[in-house]
Amino acid sequence: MSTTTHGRNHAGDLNVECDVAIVGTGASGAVIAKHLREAGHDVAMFEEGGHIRSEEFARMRPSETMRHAWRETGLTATVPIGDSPLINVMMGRCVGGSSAMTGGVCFRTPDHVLAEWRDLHGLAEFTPEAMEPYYEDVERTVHVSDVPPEMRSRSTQLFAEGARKLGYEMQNMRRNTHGCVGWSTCNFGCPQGAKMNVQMTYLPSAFNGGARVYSDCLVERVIVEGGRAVGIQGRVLNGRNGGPGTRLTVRARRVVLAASAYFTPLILMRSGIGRASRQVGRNLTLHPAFRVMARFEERVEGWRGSLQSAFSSHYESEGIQLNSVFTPAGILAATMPGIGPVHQKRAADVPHLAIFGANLHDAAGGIVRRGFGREPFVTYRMSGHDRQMARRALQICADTFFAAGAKEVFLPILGADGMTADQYRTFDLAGVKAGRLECTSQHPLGTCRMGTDPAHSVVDSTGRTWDVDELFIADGSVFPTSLGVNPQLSIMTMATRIAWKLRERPYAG
Amino acid sequence: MSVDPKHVEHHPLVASSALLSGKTRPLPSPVGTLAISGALGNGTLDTLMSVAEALFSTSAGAPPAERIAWLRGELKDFMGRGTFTGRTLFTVAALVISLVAPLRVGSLPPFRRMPLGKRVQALALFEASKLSPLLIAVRAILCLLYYEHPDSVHALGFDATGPEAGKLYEPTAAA
Repeated sequence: MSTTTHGRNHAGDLNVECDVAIVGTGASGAVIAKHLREAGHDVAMFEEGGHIRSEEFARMRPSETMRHAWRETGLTATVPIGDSPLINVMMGRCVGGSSAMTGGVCFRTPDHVLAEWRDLHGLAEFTPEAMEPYYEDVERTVHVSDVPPEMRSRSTQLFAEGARKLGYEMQNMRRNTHGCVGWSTCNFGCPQGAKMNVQMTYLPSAFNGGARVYSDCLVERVIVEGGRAVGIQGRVLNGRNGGPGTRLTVRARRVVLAASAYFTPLILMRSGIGRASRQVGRNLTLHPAFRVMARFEERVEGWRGSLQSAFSSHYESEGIQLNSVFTPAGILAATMPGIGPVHQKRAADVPHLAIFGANLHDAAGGIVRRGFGREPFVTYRMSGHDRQMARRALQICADTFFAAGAKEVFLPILGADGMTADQYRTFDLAGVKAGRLECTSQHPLGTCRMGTDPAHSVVDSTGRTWDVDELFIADGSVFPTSLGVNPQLSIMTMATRIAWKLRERPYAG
Repeated sequence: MSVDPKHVEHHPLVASSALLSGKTRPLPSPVGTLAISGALGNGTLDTLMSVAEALFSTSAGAPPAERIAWLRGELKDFMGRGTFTGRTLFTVAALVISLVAPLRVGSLPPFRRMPLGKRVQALALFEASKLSPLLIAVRAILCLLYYEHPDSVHALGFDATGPEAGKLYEPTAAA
């Protein structure tokens, strides 16, 4: 049974006492809550967004999901520094966090990334063998399984045909679904509840054990007394128009921050924690993502099939991951150039469009800083290598689509029209400035990174902050580097590892 | 083009016929979701709807007035639930389009007072200019909302049917 307190409906100040206060209810907060509650701890979770039930998500249109459950209605963007693209960063703002809006893709942290963590960041415990029990636990809980080839949309099939002609293969994606029939609307809510996000898995377990969740509660700072975290402070969002209203005060024996790589560092900054290392908010990686579309003679109807069903790691050594994707017809139409009849003619090609995506395994080019209001001010400078890889990724996708027989390819370049094969051959892709690329991200990571040296990291290998006792961080912000693959499973696994260590750890004092 | 309501009813990508006919609230807002925290000005909305008329016009003319009215309501709600920053950027984009686009075809601002044909020409030239990112941002949101109308998305060739009413996710069905 859900034990949600909707801050919106709460009158007066809100005072809570618990063993463990968890800030955030997404892929890491929900995992921590479940495990600690099962170990007998009194757990309370705090979420800035509202609590939208899964059956309500199931009935929302894309724009409704964006306006009710996405941060800044999906309009969050980084400020580009130098020749870098403006990156639209999509994050959840609801109970369930970004887990509620993922495509359900589950990759384990690549072995070469774990090796980098061990070799360059001193995290010797992070071997594939040591991580295995955590992976097994998460994968069992969220129903991770292969997407069968028959679930591939025609869009993905066409890209796979092109890949085969160019000498590389697509592999089956692994996703956390149960009973998926391929509505292809995962990012906006599943109409049949087949996506096994934390709302369907970890949160019900935590609630059944007695964990409490407080939605519409904005946590602003950690209360520190005598070098130890003893609670959190913030505002209940019961003010005018859902803005900050009465006070939120939580007294806890332990605090776990799981508010994402954007907001966990913000809470630390507001609390004056982590100043010595100067690492809080730095090292932001985003996995900059690009979508290439192609027009085929046949009706592709890419909306039939699994949203994300196949991938290729063939270009992993170059820092490029290719993932199948699809987007609602209206968003596809938005990317079509032209005005009036010209736009309508282009938009009528939507059933003939195939799409494929590419993520970059990027260097840490971003910084999260305090902004003027509640939102952080985030800058991102794309490295020279990543700029080259971005163009390379577009080239790979375009080549693959043309190999599959595309009549026209649409590269994600601001103001660019579709290109035939002849036009593409003479197009100076290498000369395109990165600032002209249309770029998105769903994977902010690394702003409170883990390490063995307090001078160069924010938390130790158990997630404990170097500066403050009983203050832990368990979200994607602790990753020392980007992963190069979708991080949902890695975030849940890291949270499981931290939770298993926490459940036996005696409280200080 | 009109569509059989059964065709689109319950599809997660489009507005339901009950919503369009006013039998349900404009937004079946779930518990505890983002409230309206601000609003675009009426002048900005007027400009954006005149952009929408031009953007979605066909050789037969502007889209039906009721669809533009529906879009206006949706846009007002969507931006109202966003942040002050988002609304400010959208307002600036609308202002620049309103003032600069007419000059491209030798007309005087404001954009919304221009005839439809001139608006289409002006936006086409604006799209080719260095200011095009402003129009691209506006077009993205207008398209997102406009194509949630079943008639609009059907005109694109989108023909998927939604799950039957009884097969929508219900909490009791969760394994």
